[in-house]
Amino acid sequence: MKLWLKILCAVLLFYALLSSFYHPLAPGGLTVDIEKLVPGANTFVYSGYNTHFKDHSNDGLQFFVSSGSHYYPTEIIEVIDNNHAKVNVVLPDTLPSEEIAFYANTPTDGTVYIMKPMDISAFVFHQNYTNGSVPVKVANDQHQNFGYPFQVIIFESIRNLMWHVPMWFTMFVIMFISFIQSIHVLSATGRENMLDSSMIYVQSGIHDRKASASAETGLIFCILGLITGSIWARFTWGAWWTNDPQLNGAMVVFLMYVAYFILRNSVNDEEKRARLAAIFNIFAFVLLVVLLMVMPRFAEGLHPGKSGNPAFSSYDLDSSLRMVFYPAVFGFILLGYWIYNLRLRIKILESNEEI
Amino acid sequence: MTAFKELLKKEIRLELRQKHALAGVGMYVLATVFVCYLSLETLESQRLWGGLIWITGLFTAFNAMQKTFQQEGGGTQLYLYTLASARSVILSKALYNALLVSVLNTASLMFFILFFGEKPFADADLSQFVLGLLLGSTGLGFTLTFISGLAYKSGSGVGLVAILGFPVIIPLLITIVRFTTGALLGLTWLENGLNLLVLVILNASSLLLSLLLFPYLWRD
Amino acid sequence: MKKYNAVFACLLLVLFTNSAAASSSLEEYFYASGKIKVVITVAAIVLIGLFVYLQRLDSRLKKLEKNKIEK
Repeated sequence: MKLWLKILCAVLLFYALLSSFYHPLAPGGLTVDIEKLVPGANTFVYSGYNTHFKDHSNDGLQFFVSSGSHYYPTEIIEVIDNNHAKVNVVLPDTLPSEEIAFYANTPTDGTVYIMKPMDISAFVFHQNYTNGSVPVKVANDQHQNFGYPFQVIIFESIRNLMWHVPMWFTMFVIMFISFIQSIHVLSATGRENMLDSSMIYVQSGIHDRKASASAETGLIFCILGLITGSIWARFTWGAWWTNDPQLNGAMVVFLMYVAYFILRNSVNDEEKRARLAAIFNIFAFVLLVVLLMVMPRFAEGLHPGKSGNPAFSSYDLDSSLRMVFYPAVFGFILLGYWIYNLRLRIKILESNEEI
Repeated sequence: MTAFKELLKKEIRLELRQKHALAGVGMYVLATVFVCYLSLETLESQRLWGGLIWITGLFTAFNAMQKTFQQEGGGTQLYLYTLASARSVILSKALYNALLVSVLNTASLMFFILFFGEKPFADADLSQFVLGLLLGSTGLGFTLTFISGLAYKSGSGVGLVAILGFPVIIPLLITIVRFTTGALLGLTWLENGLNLLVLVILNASSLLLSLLLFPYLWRD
Repeated sequence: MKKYNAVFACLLLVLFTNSAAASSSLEEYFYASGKIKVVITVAAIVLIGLFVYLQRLDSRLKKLEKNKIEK
């Protein structure tokens, strides 16, 4: 591996992993301490996350309660701190829609909102009834500072994107190397016209070592991906394991490559081992593609960007994340390739030792 | 092509000659379904039907497939090697095993209906269900034939078939269970179509890979 | 491998003594301050995993070196 690639790897990883912790989360609405809305006055505390209520308490801090596309202005009673403000809203007894949301707006944070299930049984609903609502004039509807997108339930753990997801990209790339090397093994043994049979042996031996070294490195990244994914799932989806096509697919990939190493260990003859392992590896990689690329498109699951697109849609992965995510992916791929290189060289040294 | 036909005939003739082996697998199917009945007594949810049919199908296929390479000694295989191309050998074996698994799975379905009744089929789409039964069986047959060939050549016996076979078969199993359950619940072709597509992709890829890779396996 | 097991045991111990025994307080622990602790755990696992693997490669190399010197 070239030195500049190693330096690139180090720089990319340093940048990405440091930024994964360095940048703040974009502001967002956390919760309101109210369960039931009634006609007339409603007083509640609005809790934000990374917001700047106090800083803007005199210029442009606004709160609204919306019903469908109609907005009802609120009166700010007290700004407690940057993330908390006590407000009062007066609602009419007829609302246009059952979809209730709570908005906050400051010049720095832009507009943030909270959707929360509410007891709204005290209201009458009528589509065209717009009494009391105002057209909204907000100071700024986009936040000004660099920050990762705020998403309810995920919160700060969105930073895991830079740690967990590159594991799978790296595994895929390293397994692809293994797949290519396995094809080389078979094409080396398949050359019938090669007169010197020892030449075939040497050729397939080199490719076999490459294939097994890369499969081993890929398996390490697969294990890391499974463990980190399981932890992330526990604290966002609520269970260590959920019935999600990508999760199940990842587990099957893990089992397949464990089976690959069991197969390798059960054959003693070196040439035969190379051939059989290569055959199984090709089979396994094709299934890996089907499992992780094809099947998740066709089944509903919890991972983002489902139904037609297993990657991230523009909504899920905004530009602030991309700027850190792609360097992280490339950094980890280079790191994986480096580790594979080391593993391969040790393998070659060990086999020289035996002879 | 003629070699392939002769080989297929040979497989069928060999199976019919060894009636005890076929009867053994048949008994295995019956016993499995009977044990299911004894432990569950009633089985009304379509989801459980879909799952149980294919778990039974999976183990039946493993059982039926184990002898496919083992029953021929080294001498016979050398003879076959000189006589026919590797592709016709694997094609005949794969098709024969797909046929065998289809027959066995149909039998196991009969036993399921015998013990648990036909109630779950009340709003099932039968043509979908039959297609699922066929495609699932052929998929099991194709994949496991290839894997048992691989395990046989590694020379470490029957245990390796399970170790190599299980991870490789799970994608097929997930899809076929989903498709069959969908058919039993009466989904339309459009709603169930994506599962069918994955099923066809898996079937085609396992058959194609067997044809591509078996020549490398067959030579020694 | 025994020493790795000990390292892992220590890590788990630290994790769980911090978070107390019950599952609800496990959640409390990890949900605190916007789930940042989930990220720290995940990052630690990635780094520890890679470290352990590199350590294994290192010990393999050490064995090779030793053989070379003996010859």
